[in-house]
Amino acid sequence: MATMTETPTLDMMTDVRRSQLAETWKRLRKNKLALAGLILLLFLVLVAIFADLIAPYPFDKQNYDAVLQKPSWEHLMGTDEYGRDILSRVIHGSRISLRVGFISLTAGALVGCILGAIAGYFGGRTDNLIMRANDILNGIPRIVLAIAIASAFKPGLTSALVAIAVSSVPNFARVVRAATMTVRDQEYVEASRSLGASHARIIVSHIFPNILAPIIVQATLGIGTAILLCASLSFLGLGVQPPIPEWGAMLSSARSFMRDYPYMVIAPGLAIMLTVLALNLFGDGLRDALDPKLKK
Amino acid sequence: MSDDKLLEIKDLSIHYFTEEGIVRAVNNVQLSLRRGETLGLVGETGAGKTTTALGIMGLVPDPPGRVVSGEILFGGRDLLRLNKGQMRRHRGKDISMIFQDPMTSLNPIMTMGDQIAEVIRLHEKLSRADANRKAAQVLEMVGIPAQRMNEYPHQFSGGMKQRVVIAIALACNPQLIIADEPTTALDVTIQAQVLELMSQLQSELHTSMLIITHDLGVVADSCQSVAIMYAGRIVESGRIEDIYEDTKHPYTKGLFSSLPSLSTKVKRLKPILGLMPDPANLPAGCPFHPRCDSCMPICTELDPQDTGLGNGHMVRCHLYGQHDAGEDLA
Amino acid sequence: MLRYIAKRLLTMIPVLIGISFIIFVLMYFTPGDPAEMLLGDLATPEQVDALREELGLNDGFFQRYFNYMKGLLKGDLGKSYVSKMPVWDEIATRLPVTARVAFLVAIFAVLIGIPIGILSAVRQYSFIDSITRVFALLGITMPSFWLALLLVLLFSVQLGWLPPSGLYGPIYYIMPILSISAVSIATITRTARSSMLEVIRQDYVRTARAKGQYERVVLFRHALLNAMIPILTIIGIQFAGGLGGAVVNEQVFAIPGLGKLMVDAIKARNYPLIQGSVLVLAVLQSVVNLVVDILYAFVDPRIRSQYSRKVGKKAPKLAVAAAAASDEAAATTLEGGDI
Ligand SMILES: Nc1ncnc2c1ncn2[C@@H]1O[C@H](COP(=O)(O)OP(=O)(O)O)[C@@H](O)[C@H]1O
Ligand SMILES: [Mg+2]
Repeated sequence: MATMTETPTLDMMTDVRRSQLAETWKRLRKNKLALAGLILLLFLVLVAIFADLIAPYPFDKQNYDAVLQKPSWEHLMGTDEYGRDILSRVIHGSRISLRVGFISLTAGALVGCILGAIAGYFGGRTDNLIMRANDILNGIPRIVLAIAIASAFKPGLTSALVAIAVSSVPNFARVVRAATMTVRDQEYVEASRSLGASHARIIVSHIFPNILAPIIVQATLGIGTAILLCASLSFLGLGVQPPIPEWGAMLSSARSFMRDYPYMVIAPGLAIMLTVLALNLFGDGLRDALDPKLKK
Repeated sequence: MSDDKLLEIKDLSIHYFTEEGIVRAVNNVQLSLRRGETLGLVGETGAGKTTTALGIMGLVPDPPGRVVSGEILFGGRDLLRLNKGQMRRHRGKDISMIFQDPMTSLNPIMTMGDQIAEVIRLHEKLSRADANRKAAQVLEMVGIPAQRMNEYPHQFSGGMKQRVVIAIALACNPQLIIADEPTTALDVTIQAQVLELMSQLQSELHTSMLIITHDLGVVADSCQSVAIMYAGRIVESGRIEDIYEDTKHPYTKGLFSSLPSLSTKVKRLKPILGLMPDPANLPAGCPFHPRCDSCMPICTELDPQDTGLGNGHMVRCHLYGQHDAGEDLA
Repeated sequence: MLRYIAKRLLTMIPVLIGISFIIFVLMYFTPGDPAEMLLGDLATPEQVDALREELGLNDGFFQRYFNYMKGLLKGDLGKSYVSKMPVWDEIATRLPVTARVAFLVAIFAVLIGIPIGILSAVRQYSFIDSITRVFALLGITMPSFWLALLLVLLFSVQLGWLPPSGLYGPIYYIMPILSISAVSIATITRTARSSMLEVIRQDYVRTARAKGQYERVVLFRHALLNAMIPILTIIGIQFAGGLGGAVVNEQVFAIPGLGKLMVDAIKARNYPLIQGSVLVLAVLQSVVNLVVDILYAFVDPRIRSQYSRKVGKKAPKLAVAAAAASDEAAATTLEGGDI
């Protein structure tokens, strides 16, 4: 963004934006819940990165001498039906969930942003067409859409990724379109239009930087939803397949043993919840910090 | 003499207790209004005019706002001592308020007729049909054809909306109308029409009125007395002739000299330099001293008291009150 | 109003066509030969070829789409590969179950969520408000199927109060509805709260108070009705959530609904059944979206007049304009739980 120096006003714009960023951070720092979310999130990311070092056992190490063990000092969260350490599996599961959340959301966001920006920027017939397509996707409950897409492939990580990415497009398109429409007619956009900048250039360098706030908020919250969606798909057996330690898949296999070994369904569910909680706390705080009007 | 006082405010203070600190919006305000009279309350944005009005209505948003001291005598009864139900019965019936922004003051999903009939049905024992009939009359009275009863706010222009707001305020023949900058949000041409309508209706209905404005021209046209407000205080008040002919307070003088008026003697426009202090962080002494041409040492230390100049003319300034203050101390 | 409903009904047609097209495309490109699936492993290549010809599987893309649409219009969703029964017959026995659960969830969520949200807004920063916000956050972050498992653990395994599976009487509905509606309750509460907070500050609410209106009426007639617009949006979205939740949690509670039918069909690669289930769920959701849109117009005269003033050719554009109001609302509400 910083390379755009066609006119002095653009320089000023970046300065304004930089100071807005500082302001946002200041407000965010005051919000204890958001900070807690951010710290929890960083912690989870670190856990995912260093899973190999942190996990007490390899996630796939079977031990038939120690199957279905209750939580103990050796196995803090017990073991599963193959004697695998549940805590280690949950720790490794953070890799899968965060990766699926991040990748599928980035892909979906990219497509959604482009479609939404085009719809909002050009308006009229283009807008109409894109928003109708959006209506169509909105007409299908999101998990049903994801199930339908996932069912067209062999169940696995890839099919889950594609299904989640596609089903996240409509939300993004809608948010970005609404935001684009509010900045489309502002002076600096019209100024660069009159300077003969191409549409693509205007969208990329003038519109996007100014609607980043709702996009970031939507993305943060969207990763949480993507993680929930992935867990649901895997729980149904349509997403990530065992023996990969995906949290939803772990819950699915733990179900059969639940009656006698209830601890098996606790850890993976808690892990999902904490991750989504971190993202939500941070996302909510970010929204308030970026748009102080909305608070109070 | 005091019998025909409809409204008398004594020592009223209203503060907003916010996270950032205490906003002293209204401080020890004294005001009085006779029956049938129109009083102008003049001041810059943030002076505390709206807060004073909301105080009278019992509508100060709580939290964060609270009346911290004072009395508001309306027909001899202290409104601040009424319970919620008693106060509610006064609102809209005996005292009504016209708000600043007609664009946002009307409920967007109720018809104009319903919004007028609502206040009528609350205070008069009328059937729905009778209330609607009366609402139609009131609407005609403010110059809107009764056929438009069933339309919604978004179908009306700003000036028309303000007429409806006025109709709501007048519907129950209140004894007192508080008009909070009734024309600020309107086009200049519409402003004149609305003001004209208000003063015409007021003289027909013999209502007392408190007009809040920052336009001294409006005051000259329609008020019998005037109170000048600055940083939550009434700095000068009195009959309109006294204030306009025998201006005392430096702030009031500043207001007049910043007025592009043909009738006053001042030829050049001279705006008051500086800004009104933040009511959350008032300077010590007289809150006007940082902007005052005639600032004296005492002004930076001691907040001046009200000084009566006779005939109801009151000023709050050390230029006139220092002797009193000295005598009080002695 | 009638004209509005009629126009809004018309706009549903392209949406439904679009949905059926997307589903058709998904299934068209799905690997595997339906004829082989129908006949099973023992069939000879000749038999398979004959059936392919009979089913029109050798036709081109457009011809097949055309045939498929013709079937749809006649209510023919094809034949199940497994039971060889018409797909519609299988769905027809399952749909009421899922629809009933989803509607009960929606009603339950609205009845709980809106009052709590209002209370929380009216008493902002109070103890009740804090508790509400904590629970709403938990509701949004907790996967519904996990909540279902926990409920089973508590009420069936530990306490033995509720049956863990099946759907044979009112008592069987308790856990499915609780687990599925948690997200919806949380989201509706949050929306109701923020929307009420927004509206309570509006000048027209102050006007209503200045009229001497009772506080109760101020809150309900003036504030809540205006706050309903974003709340309605979220109810529509949450119905989708409830439908989705039902699909997943039918698995947990072994409820013989459309969701379980669909998931079982996916595992058996029973494509016509998948296709039919998705289509029926989508139609159900579209109808709910339609009802929500009509309710908007009911609440908001501005949306109503957009339709009555401009007539004729401009209809699609206007639908977008009307939808813009709801978009705005949806954009400001949480994405969480919007599954
Ligand atoms: N709800 C509120 N919360 C906090 N401060 C307020 C509130 N309403 C008004 N104020 C502050 O009180 C002071 C007086 O405001 P107001 O009465 O609206 O002034 P005026 O009507 O003369 O412009 C201002 O500084 C304003 O910022
Ligand atoms: Mg004001």
